[in-house]
Amino acid sequence: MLKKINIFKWFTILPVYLWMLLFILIPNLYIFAMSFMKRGIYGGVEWGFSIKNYIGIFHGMYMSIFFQSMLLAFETTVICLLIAYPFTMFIMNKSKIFQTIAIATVTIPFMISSLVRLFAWITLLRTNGVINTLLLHLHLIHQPLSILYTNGAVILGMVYMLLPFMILPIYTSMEKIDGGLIEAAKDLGARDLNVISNILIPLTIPGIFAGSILVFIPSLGYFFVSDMLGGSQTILIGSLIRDEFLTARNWPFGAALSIFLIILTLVVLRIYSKLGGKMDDLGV
Amino acid sequence: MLTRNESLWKRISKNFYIWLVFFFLYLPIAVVFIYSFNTSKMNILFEGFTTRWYGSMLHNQVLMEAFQNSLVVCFVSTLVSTVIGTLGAVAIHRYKFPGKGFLENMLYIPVVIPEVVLGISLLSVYTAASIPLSLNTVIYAHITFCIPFVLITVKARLAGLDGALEEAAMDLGARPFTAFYRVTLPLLTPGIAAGALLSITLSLDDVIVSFFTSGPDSQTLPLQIFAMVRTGVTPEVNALCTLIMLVTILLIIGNTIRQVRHLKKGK
Amino acid sequence: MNSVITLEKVNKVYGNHHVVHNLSLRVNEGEFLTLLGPSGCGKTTTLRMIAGFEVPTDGAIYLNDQRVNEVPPYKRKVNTVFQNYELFPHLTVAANVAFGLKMKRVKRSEIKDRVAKMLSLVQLEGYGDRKPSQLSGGQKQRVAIARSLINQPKVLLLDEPLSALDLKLRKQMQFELKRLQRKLDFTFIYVTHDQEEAMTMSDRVAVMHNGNIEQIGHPRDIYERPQTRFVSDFIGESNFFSGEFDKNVDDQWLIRSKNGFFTVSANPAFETDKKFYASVRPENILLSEAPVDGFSISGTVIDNVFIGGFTRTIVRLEDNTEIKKTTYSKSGILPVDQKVYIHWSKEDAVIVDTEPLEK
Repeated sequence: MLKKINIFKWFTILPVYLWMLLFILIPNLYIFAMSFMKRGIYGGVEWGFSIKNYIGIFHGMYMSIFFQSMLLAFETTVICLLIAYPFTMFIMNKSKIFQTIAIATVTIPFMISSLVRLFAWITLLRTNGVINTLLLHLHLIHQPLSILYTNGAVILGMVYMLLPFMILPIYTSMEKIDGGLIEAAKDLGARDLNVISNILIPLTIPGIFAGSILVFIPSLGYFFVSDMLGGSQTILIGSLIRDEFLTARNWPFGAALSIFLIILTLVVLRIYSKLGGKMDDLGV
Repeated sequence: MLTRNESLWKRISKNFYIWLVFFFLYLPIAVVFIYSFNTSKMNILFEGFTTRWYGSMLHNQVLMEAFQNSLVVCFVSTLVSTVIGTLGAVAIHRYKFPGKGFLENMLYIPVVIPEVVLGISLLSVYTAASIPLSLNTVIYAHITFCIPFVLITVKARLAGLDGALEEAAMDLGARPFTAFYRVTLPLLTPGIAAGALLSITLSLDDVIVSFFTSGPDSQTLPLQIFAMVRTGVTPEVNALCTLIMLVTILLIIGNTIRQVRHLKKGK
Repeated sequence: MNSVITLEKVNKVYGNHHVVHNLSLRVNEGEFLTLLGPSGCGKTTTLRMIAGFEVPTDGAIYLNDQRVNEVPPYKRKVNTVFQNYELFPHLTVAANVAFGLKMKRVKRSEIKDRVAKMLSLVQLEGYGDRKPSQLSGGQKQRVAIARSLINQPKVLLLDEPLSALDLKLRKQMQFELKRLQRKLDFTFIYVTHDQEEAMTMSDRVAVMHNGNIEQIGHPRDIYERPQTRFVSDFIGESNFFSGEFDKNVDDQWLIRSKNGFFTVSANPAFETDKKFYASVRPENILLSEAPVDGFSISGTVIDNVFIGGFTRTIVRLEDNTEIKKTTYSKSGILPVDQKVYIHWSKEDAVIVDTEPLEK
């Protein structure tokens, strides 16, 4: 390849490099360092090395919150997958134009204030909300369902927010499959279910993985969803960290929790890579 | 993948499913829209129809200020992140340089790590450096998480271009920057537009990162709404969001039409 | 004649791969020179070094007596016609052609004028407003040529520009390129692996092999007087005969081979205590039913293949070597299974290689 004059080359490299160093590397190193420090008297940071924070994490309460949060994230991911996969399969049967419009239609909600949309769910789900009113009116139920302020509502909210992130990678993956393969399989006698399990799913694994990552990880941190739709029992890892920083003002501990979350994320990503996922697929 | 031999029943149920998903996604949006005409300010039950909120929202100083903040943040961060991200995409696509792998890893952090971490890490550093929280601190944060998305989008488009075109330009007397500017950049425009659109969306709707990096005088619209959730989201908010939604939809429809036209041309 | 481009012992190494090996070359002003060779011989790399896209690992490249090794392509008065045309898809034909002039900040009115002239020169008048995607392969090629020529480069480099075209179009374009070169009196350096193309168009051909030039000269010389085994085999076809020197007969040498005796012209350039390899073109092979003075190689006709305008006869010798003979007339074809003797006119055998005798 052509050897270009250095000026232009460095003109393209330096801005992004410097910005990332300044705003990603340094802050993360700082909170890593901070996680080993002690909480100052007035809520600041006191210098001095201590691993107390990390020991504190393994305390029963925090561990159970971590597990609950991960369970919630897992359930969200599974439900997203179960909804998104058939949806994508079915639109693949339609014309390219329909597909493009369908994907755009799915993407639009993502661009409207998530808070307002979530609040709309409150309007829909509350005891005197739209859904309950409708069901009561139709005599399908005799007492209003208390859907709001439960784990279920939180999952519903997160699924609602993150569904496009599952649909898009799966669609990208499916789009790449040669339609001729499906026909060949059918020619060889495969029934629909066989086609799905033997061809479609194996070939779309990259999309499934990418989508799962893009749903699972944010679900661990979306505290505003649990704030709005969840009960007092629903605490996400993200809410924990927020509380430590802004309420308890125990920044070192909050930092330790964050590092823990980062490690968790890296472990999940490692599993993703090992199972064959590519990092580029995550840039939806 | 058009299978013509599908039974009618199958086809109906598949279509039903697709529309069910659309319904699920748009139900709350319909609620937002409808409730923007609610006469009840509490906005819990729909009581009557009025359009006055579309006018009164302009006089809601708190709301308008937050909206303006969001626009400023969005505009500046999209501009900066698009420029840096596009250049960065060229850098990574084309050149080898020390620390390249390291840079690529750093770029993935904002994409995959939960936003909470991004927020608190920046907050910590701002505090340690005694930088007061303001619109600027929010802007820096937004640029930080927008750059990777722009970069990935542009890089994908760059991969589809013919590298020899710039060589041809240089052969004809163009210096490296001119070759980039006159040949690569025009061909990159769809990718840059897509990246910018992505950046606008991410910035306008950001809650978590803004939450940690904004000061009392620099609340963005989502943060303002978040604060209102306890007391109830007024119809004014619904009206404002409906308007934003309409503009966003117009932008996306425009982009989709371009995509569909492109597809039709290909036939 | 002036040497407009000189390469002196140029080397190019990529990692472990030594692509161009001590290559020296002088390109004369106004000539049509072709670098001919199989893929991997280094011809494209050499061209790219002349253009400025690659920097020589070693050696020097001179453009008009100025050393240009590290000078970037946009500073050289050299233009390239690429194999894939590399037309800018977002610009019109006219804008493509005008690009080089625009880079030099030529006045808009002058650009318009020169573009129009150039388009008519390549017979694309009126195509100015079209986009490359609307053009056929041949048309794209002509736009690429126009785009380069309009800059009046000292040297035009062409990297297998016709390889993507179909046969008939290719022949037509070869003719047009030659015509253009003659008319404009520019220097062309052409790269191809197609020997017929090279022989038809060039003033001189440089046959390349393994990163170096094995022979350079006028097409006819290359064909009739190949200097190495590779050249004689790569250009046209060859029959190889090898053997040791036996004795002088007038101005000829009698050579003793495994298959019998044969005669070549005496060549003072070679020492006689060697093993000789001689090349004889199929059209120069003569077959007879009785042995001819100075030759005792015999064999059996095993096949006569009629190919369009000529007949290819294959004769198998005692050691199973196959000799190809080409006959352009319909008469004088010896039948299959006939025992024949092989001979030729003394000037038709060329010594292309020697080896020391095994003691």
